[in-house]
Amino acid sequence: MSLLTASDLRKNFGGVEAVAGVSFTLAAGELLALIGPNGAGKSTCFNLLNGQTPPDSGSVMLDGTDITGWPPRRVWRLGVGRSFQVAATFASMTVRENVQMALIARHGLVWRFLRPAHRLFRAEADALLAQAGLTDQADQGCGALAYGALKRLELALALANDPRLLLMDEPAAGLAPADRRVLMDLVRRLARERNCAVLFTEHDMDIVFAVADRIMVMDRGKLIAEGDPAAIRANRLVQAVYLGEES
Amino acid sequence: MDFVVIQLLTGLASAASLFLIAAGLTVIFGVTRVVNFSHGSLYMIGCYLAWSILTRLPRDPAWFALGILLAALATGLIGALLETTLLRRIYRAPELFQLLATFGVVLVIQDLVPLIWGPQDLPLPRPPWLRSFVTIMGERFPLYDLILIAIGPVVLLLLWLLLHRTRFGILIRAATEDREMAAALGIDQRILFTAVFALGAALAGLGGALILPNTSANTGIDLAVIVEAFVVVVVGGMGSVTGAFVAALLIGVLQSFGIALLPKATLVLAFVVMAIVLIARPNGLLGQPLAPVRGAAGVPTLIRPASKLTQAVLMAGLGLAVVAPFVLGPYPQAVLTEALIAMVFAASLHLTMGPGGMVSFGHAAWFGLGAYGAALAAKILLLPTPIGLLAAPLVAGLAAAAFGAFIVRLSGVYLAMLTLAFAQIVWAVATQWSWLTGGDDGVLGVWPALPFPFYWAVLGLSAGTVWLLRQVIHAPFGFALRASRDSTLRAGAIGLDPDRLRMAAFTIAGAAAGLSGGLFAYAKGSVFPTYVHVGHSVDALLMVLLGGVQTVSGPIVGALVYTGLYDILLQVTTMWRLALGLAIIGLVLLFPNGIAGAIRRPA
Repeated sequence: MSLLTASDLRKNFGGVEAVAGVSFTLAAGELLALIGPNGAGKSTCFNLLNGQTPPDSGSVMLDGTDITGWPPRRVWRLGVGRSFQVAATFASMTVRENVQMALIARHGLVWRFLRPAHRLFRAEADALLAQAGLTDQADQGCGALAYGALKRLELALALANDPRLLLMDEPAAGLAPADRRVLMDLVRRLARERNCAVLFTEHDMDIVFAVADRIMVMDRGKLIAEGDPAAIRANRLVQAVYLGEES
Repeated sequence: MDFVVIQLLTGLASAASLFLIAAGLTVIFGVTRVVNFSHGSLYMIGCYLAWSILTRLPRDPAWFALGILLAALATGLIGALLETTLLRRIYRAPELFQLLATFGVVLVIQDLVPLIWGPQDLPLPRPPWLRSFVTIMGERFPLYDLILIAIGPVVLLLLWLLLHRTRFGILIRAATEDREMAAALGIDQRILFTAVFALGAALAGLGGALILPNTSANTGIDLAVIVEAFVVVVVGGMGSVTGAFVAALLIGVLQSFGIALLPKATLVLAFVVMAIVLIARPNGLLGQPLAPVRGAAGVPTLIRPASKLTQAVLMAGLGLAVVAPFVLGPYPQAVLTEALIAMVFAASLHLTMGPGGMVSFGHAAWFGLGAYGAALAAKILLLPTPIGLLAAPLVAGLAAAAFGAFIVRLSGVYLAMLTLAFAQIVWAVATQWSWLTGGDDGVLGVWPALPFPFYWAVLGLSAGTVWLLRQVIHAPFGFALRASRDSTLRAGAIGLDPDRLRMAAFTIAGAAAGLSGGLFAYAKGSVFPTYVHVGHSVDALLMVLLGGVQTVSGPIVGALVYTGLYDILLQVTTMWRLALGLAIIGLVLLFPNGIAGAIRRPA
């Protein structure tokens, strides 16, 4: 039984079909990479999945629940963590407070008006920060953080929800190649430990082939290939369209 | 039929002058992103300059036209001077500080103009051609109004040609769409910004000069016209000249018919139009969503719990305040009462502006609703004082909740303008429903009846409310509110509901401001429409901005400094606006993060 099932998702932007009928499934604990050239529709696809953008047609099922067009905050409640291509964090808070905020939301304590928030879930927040390798930066303001640390914080925020599914749109974008690999290995390890499914995009093919269990290739709004890394590496169509290699 | 045509023409004539001032404002905003509160002052200067020039020139049409153009040109030069001496220094400051600085300019000019031209109204002696009429469908219609009607489209055409057919215009449009990209392409922003500001000022001056024959140069037109101009700019879409033209026509014509058909509605008509337009089209009729100006807002600062020192100072202050009635005479005690009430007023606005990220130009609405709520509970329902003080936050809080539900989806200047619109509607009701509110005469004889001095009630409730607001900011709710402000995207992705959070913040802030209004009503023994006036909303803004938006103690410091400055200035000089305006400008230039912000983080 698959955890996530997308069926024939479509989205038009002013006549341009950004996503033109995408269907796939994702099993619990699986690491699935979505790759494709710039403008292929990957980010739009992510936004359709977690409700950032409602699809024109098609459906998204999460563990038997139809979540098509749900707003992100409801999708999140079902255990879906999200990271963004351009890191989105709370700049007026420290790194720890960011994670505390996510934990407060997860435990439904947002509508408390009197007791200070910074005492809540400190230990849990520090545990998540340790997993993301951010212990040293816990008290730093998020607005002054290096980009690599911000991307790690995104990961910690997504994990704060104890998610069943992580949607990670270029979790390593903007990092140096060596750091990208370290971060993706971290994602893979944490996902394995938590039996959490991950759908991610990444431009560095070496990383994709090393990390992913399965790969989908997208071009001009459509999935053109799907399979395990070895099959994708051997796929002629993928080589022509995406890798740009002469066959 | 005649009636319709004449009203239509009257409306078109007023639309023309609305357009001139709004066009300058919208061009300046589009390029520099400065919300120029002093635009009405430039308009007023244009009007006075035109008086000085035209009364010295021969009185035939050609000289008249030349004089008007000279006045516009001179206003443009004053605008350029203003830009190079003041605004240029603060483009990198947060948007709100630019607003504060331009409001300082408003205050300075309000005192400088009577100093130069005298306090009396200056009408223009009108030669016969300016007084002549044209007969249209059997009705006499002023010739000058017909000229005004023609000038609107002519200026629009000239502006369009300037923007679309000249290199300067291309630069303006490029900078309006993306000023960083324009800068990256090698456009010298300093010259461009100065030129644009001068152009906008010249348009304001032209509008002010052209209005002179129909009224007189007087010192009240700056604030009256700036509010109307903002409405036109917002309805048209900020940055859009054509939008400003369409909006000016819409509002001018509607008002002309409104005055004739529903005289009671005229005060609010424009604001009702604005509210409807913004709810249907959150970026105005022809406006584009504003490209965020990167880096201009600065890095949001962390909010830390108050240091031991701050807490000690606050506790000492509180202790002194408790024993103050035994030490102070009635006058200082009255000033202290006002300062305490001002703290609550400022702290309530701070919740929406700081953690909430929603600027309000109409915070006095809640203050006024609370004041009237308490006063009417006491005078009409004859309820005891404690119930009156309970009614104040209740009335204001409920109104704020209803209003909040409408506006939380808007953002930035548009949201601020809707708060202003709502405040103007409350103000109009306070002025016009005299059977209930006493109109301009107000509600009198609202005295507190408590078994102890009312001052202690003020102290207890003020200190308690400010403490509660502080708790709210540090509580999970305050965190979530700040999170929604910092990143709506991430807030949604961790399950927060920014709209509901903002609405709740609005309600809490409204209730707290309402309480401050109720306290003020009992402290003064009376309530007047001025409590709801734009000027009072600006007081709150000034207090918060002076103290610093990013610190929790900011509004307290701001309220004290502002009340103190105001009181001292009022005693030592008749030119208190000039002094206050200069003080504000100086503070903005010295402390772009507010006073409390500067104390915390010495640069």
